Amino acid sequence: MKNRIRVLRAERQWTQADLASRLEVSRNSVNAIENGKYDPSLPLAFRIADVFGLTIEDIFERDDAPARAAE
Amino acid sequence: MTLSNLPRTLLGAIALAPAVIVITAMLAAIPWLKSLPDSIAMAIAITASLFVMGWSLFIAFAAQKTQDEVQRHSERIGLQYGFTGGAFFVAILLMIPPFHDVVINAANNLAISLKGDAQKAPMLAYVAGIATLAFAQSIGAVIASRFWWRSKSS
Repeated sequence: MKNRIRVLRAERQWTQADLASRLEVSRNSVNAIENGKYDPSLPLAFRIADVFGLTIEDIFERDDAPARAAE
Repeated sequence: MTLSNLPRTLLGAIALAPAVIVITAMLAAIPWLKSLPDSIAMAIAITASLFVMGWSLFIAFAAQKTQDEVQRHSERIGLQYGFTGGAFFVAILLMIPPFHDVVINAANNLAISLKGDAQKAPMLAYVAGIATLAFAQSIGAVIASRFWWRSKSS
C-alpha cells in the first residue's frame, strides 16, 4: 500500500518525531509506515487521517488501485 | 524525574536487575546450598526460579503495554522467525564436531564432579540444554526483529 505521509508531513514541516508524538507511536513506527514497510491497522489509519485532517483515501492508496484518470 | 523519563537502557537495566541479582545470588550460594539438606536446597532453588519466571513475565507484560502496533508486529516477526532460527542454530551447532565434543566433555566432567550422585548429571545436562535452546531462541527473536526494522520496505 502506498501513502502520502512523507509529503503531508513535509507540507506541515513536521519531523517524524512530531508526527509520532501526535499519533502516540514511536518515531521508528512512523518511519516504517511512511516507507510502506508496515500497513497500519484501520484504527491507526483513522488516527493518521485525523491528524492530517484528511480522509484515509486521501493518504493511502492500494497498490492495485485503478488509475483515477481512467475513472 | 519519573521512571518514564529515564533513558531506555537504564530503565531496562533497572527492570532486569531483580532477576539478575537473584540468579547471581543463587550461583554465588551454590557452595552454601550444597551444605544444606536436599529438600531445603530444592525449595530455595524452586522459589528463586519462580521469582525469576514471574518477574520476567511481569516485565514482558509491562513492556508490551508501552508498545505500539508496529513494535508488536516486529516482535511477532521476531518470534516467528527467531524461535525457529534459534532452534535450528542449536541443532546445527550440536552436529558440528568441535561443539559436539565440548558438550560431551562438559557432560562427562559434570558426571565426574558429582561423584556419588551421578544420576543428577543427565538431569543437569537436560536443564542446560533447554536453557541453551531458550537463550538461542531469544537471541534469534531479537536478531529477526532487528532485521525487520532495518529491512527495506516491502
